[in-house]
Amino acid sequence: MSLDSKTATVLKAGTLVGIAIMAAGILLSSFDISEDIMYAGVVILVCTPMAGVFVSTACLYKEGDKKWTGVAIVLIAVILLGLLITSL
Amino acid sequence: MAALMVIAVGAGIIGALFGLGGGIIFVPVLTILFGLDATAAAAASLVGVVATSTGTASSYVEKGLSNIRLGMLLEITTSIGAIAGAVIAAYLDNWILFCIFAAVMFYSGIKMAAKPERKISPEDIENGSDMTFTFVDPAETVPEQTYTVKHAKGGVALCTFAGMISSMTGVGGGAIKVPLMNLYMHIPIKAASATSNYMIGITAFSGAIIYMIEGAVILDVACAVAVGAFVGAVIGTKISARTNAASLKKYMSVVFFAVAILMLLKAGGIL
Repeated sequence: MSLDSKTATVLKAGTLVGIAIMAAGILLSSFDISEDIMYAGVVILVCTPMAGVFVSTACLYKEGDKKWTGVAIVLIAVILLGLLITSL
Repeated sequence: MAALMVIAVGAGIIGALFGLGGGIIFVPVLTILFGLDATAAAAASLVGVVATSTGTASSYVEKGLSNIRLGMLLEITTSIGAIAGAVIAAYLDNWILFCIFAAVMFYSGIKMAAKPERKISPEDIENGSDMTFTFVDPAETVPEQTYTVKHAKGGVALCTFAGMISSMTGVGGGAIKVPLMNLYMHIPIKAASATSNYMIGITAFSGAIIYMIEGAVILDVACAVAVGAFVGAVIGTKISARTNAASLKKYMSVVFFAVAILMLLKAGGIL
């Protein structure tokens, strides 16, 4: 599988699982556990783009593509730095 | 909730077609029609933006329309710009920021409408360059499209500005990144909007995580927005596959003018 197909698989799986759990949470809104279900769905969906970046990074590293692996690592570092600064 | 989902479907379609996350629609809808405060609206909107982005990107990435390498490169400076923007925003009046955004949108809209669709000519393609990419677009007469990214350094630098404006105004940077990629970096419009969609999810991730940690996400609203946006994104990708680039560019200029008007209304305190 190529970089594109592996990344697409992760994005598709994360999105479908997250959305399905969210939809289940909405349908079960009269039950106490619905908030927990919806929260789990939101967490999975929101983390999916970053999961895609991690998978892309691993694929580029495996392909021996040093330049673009470096770009991906810098991106992850910048995002983590941004999260750190924003949360302070 | 049903009404919110229907609106989110519309936002998802627009987001998928034009490389916009949908935040430009979600935030005013949630504040004006559903009475949410700005923070709760922004938090729910970001979850919806991720749904639009990942819903479309999963399909566009698979087809090679979203350029992962270029997206990650441009996202570095977009994120740096977003961090800088968050700091600068504290020292600038909001109406100035919205006016700047509106001016950029009007300029992009005029350029999109006035400039003919850029055809990729063989002399534009630099074979062997690590900035040359290929994708397949079944809606075009020649489905396999190859392009070489021009002004890469300038584009990377200008994405800092896109991230900054996006973070200062709270509106996704897709409306700036798509014309930047197409008009300045010579990336075909479909690849530009697909790459923008991929990038928007990464940008929205950071904001959404912070809101979740702060407990600002109203779960049922966020889920309704996300589910609707996802359905819209799926429909949008189907429409995009049947639309040729020239038509897409024409409609995009209309969307940019609409965004500019929305920004001016925000600047005037009407929205």
